[in-house]
Amino acid sequence: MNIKNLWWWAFPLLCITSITCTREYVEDLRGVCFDSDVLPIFQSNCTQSGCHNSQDRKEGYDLTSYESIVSRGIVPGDYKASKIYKALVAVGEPMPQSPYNRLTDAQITTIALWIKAGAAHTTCSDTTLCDTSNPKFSTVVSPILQTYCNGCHGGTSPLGNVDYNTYAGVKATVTNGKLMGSIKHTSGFSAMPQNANKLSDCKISVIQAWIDAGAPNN
Amino acid sequence: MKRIIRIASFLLILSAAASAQNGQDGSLLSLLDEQFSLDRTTNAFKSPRVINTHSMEMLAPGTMDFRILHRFGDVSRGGYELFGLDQASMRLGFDFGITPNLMAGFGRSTSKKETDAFVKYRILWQSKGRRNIPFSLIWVSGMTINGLHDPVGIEGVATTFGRRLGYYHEVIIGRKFSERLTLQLSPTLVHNNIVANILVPNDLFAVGFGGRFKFTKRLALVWDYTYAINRFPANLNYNPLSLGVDIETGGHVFQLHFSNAVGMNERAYITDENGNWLKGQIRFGFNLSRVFQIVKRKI
Repeated sequence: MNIKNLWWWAFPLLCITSITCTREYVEDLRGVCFDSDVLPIFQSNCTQSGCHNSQDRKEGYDLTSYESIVSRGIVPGDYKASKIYKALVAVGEPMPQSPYNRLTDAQITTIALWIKAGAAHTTCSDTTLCDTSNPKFSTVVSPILQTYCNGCHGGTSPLGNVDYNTYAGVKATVTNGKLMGSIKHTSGFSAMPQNANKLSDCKISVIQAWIDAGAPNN
Repeated sequence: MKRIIRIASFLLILSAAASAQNGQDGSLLSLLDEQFSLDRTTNAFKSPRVINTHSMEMLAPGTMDFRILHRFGDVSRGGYELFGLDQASMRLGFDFGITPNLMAGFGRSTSKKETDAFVKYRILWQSKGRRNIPFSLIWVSGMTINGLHDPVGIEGVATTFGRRLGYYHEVIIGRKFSERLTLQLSPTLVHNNIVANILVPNDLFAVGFGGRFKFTKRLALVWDYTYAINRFPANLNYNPLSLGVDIETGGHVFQLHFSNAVGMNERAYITDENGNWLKGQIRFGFNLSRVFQIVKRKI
């Protein structure tokens, strides 16, 4: 094959590839809501006893409320310059430190998107999520637990013998009543989540609907 | 003319003496060979792939390399899943040698039902003798097409052909240092037409490090690692690291390895989420390569 022949093949190939090359990203039309998306991540993963709550304030960071979070380590609009973001993706020993797990990519992305959008105190009503008809474990219940509970009850050493890494662990607390007792702040159960507001009535009703349906692993 | 011959023979004797001093075989004949022939480096790797990444090796013209790549599930899944062997994902590949310096190929992976195709061209060929080229320089460009029904996976985002596509471009700088040791470096650009959010780069830059250490004629240790420079979120654990052995048996090359990489084409194993070596999220895998002569060789 000589070089001239080769061009007959290479030229159309170049044309096709240069026409089809685009640069798009999926835009989050809802935007990141601080109260329902960002705050629970901080409260669940960073405010354990001895860490970044309003009593212990380790390294001077208190990550329990909007005012205290933005007062230190957040550069609105520039997540790469924000110390809190840098700590989350640090090489070697990222925050939360062992034995707690590194935040999931989705959680880190939520925080970075929120900082990039200006780190504002945004609130969204979560009525759109409040669909109690046949809520699924995988798409509805598990993400709520992931956000509000797994900071302590996940990872390599889940606290209080409550392990939400797996469906089996969740199911166990459904059966013994601890899950609903804790999130409804029923007396006789330890009120959960700690260092944070009670879950919204909407979220509690969604979880209740899933349990009423037999708490299936769906 | 006489003078030139005289000078040339003088130089020859001189260099022969020099090489004899170096403890080499200083016969005039071998010296002549070295100066006037071109000794091109071959068998830097046993196949055109190190494990996942393209290697500095090319296919011979007129041959087809039929490649079956297997990756099993996470070893960390434990005994119930037979340490991952109960699950498998694979890539079927057909690579063709067109000219000594040009090859092309395509493959289909089960992961994301992705089809990929590439063109690989050798710009420089490591050689000794008439021309001294210390390394091989190879260009690879490829394209991937996601074949899922809904490749973006987000409601309200239309599926277009363009949104299925990804590209990669790669330069391989490789050198066979000795019969035993080969090393290569491969700066890579991976482009995704659509990404999950504004923070994820469309253009991901990465550098690959690959190599081979040969124990015997038929057995070699191979490794490749790709460091992604601007991944979001930055996570070193996702960088694919594969360690394996090449076993040559007759016409087949078996590559047995452990890797945290899930995908088997450049877009997949560099940009997708891979396992964490430190948590045992590694997979056993093997590549099987069989080369067929499909065009008769001219003699």
